Amino acid sequence: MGFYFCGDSDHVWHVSAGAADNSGGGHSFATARKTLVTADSGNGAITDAASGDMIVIWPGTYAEAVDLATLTKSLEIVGTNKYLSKIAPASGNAITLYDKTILRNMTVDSAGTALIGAARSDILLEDCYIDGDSAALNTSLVANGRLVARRCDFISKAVNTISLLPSFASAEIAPVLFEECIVAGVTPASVHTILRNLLIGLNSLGRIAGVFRKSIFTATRTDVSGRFCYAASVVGRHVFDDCIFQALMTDGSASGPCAALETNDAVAASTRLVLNNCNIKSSGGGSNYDISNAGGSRIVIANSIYDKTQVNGDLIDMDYEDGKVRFAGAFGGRY
Amino acid sequence: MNYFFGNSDHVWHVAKSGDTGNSGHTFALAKETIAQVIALAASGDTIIVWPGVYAEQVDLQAAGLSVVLAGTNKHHSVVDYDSGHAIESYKQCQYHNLRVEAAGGTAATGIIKGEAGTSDVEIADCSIDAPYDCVQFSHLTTPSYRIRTIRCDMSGDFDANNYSGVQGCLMSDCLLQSDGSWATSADCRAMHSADVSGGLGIVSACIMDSRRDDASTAACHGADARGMWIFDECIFEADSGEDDSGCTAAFYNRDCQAAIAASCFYAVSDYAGEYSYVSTPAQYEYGLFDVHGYRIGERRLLKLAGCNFDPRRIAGRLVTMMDYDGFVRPHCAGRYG
Repeated sequence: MGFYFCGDSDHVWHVSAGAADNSGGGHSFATARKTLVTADSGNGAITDAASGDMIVIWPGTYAEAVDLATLTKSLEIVGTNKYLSKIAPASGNAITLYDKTILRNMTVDSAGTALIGAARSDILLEDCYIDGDSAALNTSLVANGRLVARRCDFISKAVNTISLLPSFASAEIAPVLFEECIVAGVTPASVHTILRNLLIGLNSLGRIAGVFRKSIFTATRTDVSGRFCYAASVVGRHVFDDCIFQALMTDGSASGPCAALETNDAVAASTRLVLNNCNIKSSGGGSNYDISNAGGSRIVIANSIYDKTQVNGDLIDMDYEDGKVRFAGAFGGRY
Repeated sequence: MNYFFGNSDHVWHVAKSGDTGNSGHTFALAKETIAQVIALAASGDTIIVWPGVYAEQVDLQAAGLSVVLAGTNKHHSVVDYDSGHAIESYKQCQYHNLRVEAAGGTAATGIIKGEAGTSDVEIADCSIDAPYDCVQFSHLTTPSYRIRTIRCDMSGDFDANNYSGVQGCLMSDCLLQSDGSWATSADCRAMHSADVSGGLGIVSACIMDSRRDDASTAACHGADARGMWIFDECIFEADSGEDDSGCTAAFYNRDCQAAIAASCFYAVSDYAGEYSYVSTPAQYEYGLFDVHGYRIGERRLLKLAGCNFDPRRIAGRLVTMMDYDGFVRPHCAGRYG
């Protein structure tokens, strides 16, 4: 248990939906500003804040789009209630990330993308509920850029719930860390052929490298036939420890492929995955793959549970039931 | 994680020294009961419970309130209610640093309860002692989503918790105990997640201890599960004492696909024909050992790695990593398969 508040100061800005307007100083609840960036008898709190400041958001729905990149401000935005301190613009993206953005204990809800960024670094998300109709989180990271998410829920009904890409084309990495997160994608609101709940892509030689712990990735779609459904589709170097991957479709044989975990690397030699103590399952698609490694990336899997008959491509399983370590693909994904 | 930013109109104080006529927005002007605050609070507010025993029901469901209910002392900020659920939870509620208890003995007593579909709830740093279930988010048709339980102690006379059917259950660093004293005819489980079709969750660094000492034919399980689960760094323990003749299993797999790592299993009973350290078959409830409980491609299976259990005391089959002789192999009915 921790506390992250050192008392009011000139570096702390309070925002309360119950404030009359922005005429207050903003440095206490009693003098809170009414808005984040919208002028209303004075500037919104973020407009007046400087990089390094903290924005405290009291309960309420703030229907404002916050573009930290255009403002070039690195702020810590903290809600007083995870679910009811909410940034939710009526349309468009909710928060455009800037470098060193910290979001804690709040909801970001968007008809567009909840958190969007381009070529960012040092993003920290903790205890947040992030719901975007176009995506919950969609950003690229610079080489050696970092993104950390802890105890967050990412929800979407779009093509991707989370989309992470390298913004660089060189042979470097951008590290990410996810702990105790839930990433859930459901049937896209508009017609999209492919649902990739967690998408981690590539940029020529550039790669994301991630550690994912105690996290759940689920993709569920119930719409018309011919669609694709992936709980996670990744490229790069990643460790998944104590993670659940579940892809569910309801259209049976009329559907396209349904995969709990997919690698999709156009440069197959560069992707490496380790899965430890993971639970992996897909069902209901026209073809179901607990693990699909069609690109031929290297996957080492240990202590994990999945259906050996639902493997597409090769992987190295450290604990086949007969005691031998082997390439599953050598057996066509089955015994 | 607790986030507190000082007093405001959104922060309510409850203290035994409080008064109905106070505003409730500072300790000096605290309200006297939680119910007084619930009548005035809005969703998003924080209710701070100062030390004392508050013998009242906290019904956030009826009030339609999503709040943070935070004690100032895990053991001495106490909600104690004997005539129904101590806390009826609403969606998006967070319970921090509280003790919840009851002295009564009915099926509706002393628990944190979520009705059908109650989702996005966090219980952290709480001590819960109930004559039935401590925490219950289980419903036959409408599941709850995203229930987090962190650093809690739960001692229940029936089950310590019932998370059956929860989609997205994350539990860590908890101590769960059950003793079966609610009813001799009822099973007792420290962790129960097997009532309905398939929950989904990750449990880490938890101790699940179930022990009963009555003359019961009902079951005693450290944990049971249905659906997709991961357990890591857990202790599963079941002890049915000298009088029990029901199924005693440290972990009871009731149509579950589970990966379990770095965990200990221990079970003891006086009825040698019906105890096991790890039990997989659904048929076991009918008194059968299912030696075919595990097959390639079937979903009802367990996989254990780095675990400590007695391979002679298994009903059904599972896959375990690194047996005593260094081999990886399935186990079957206490024999090497």
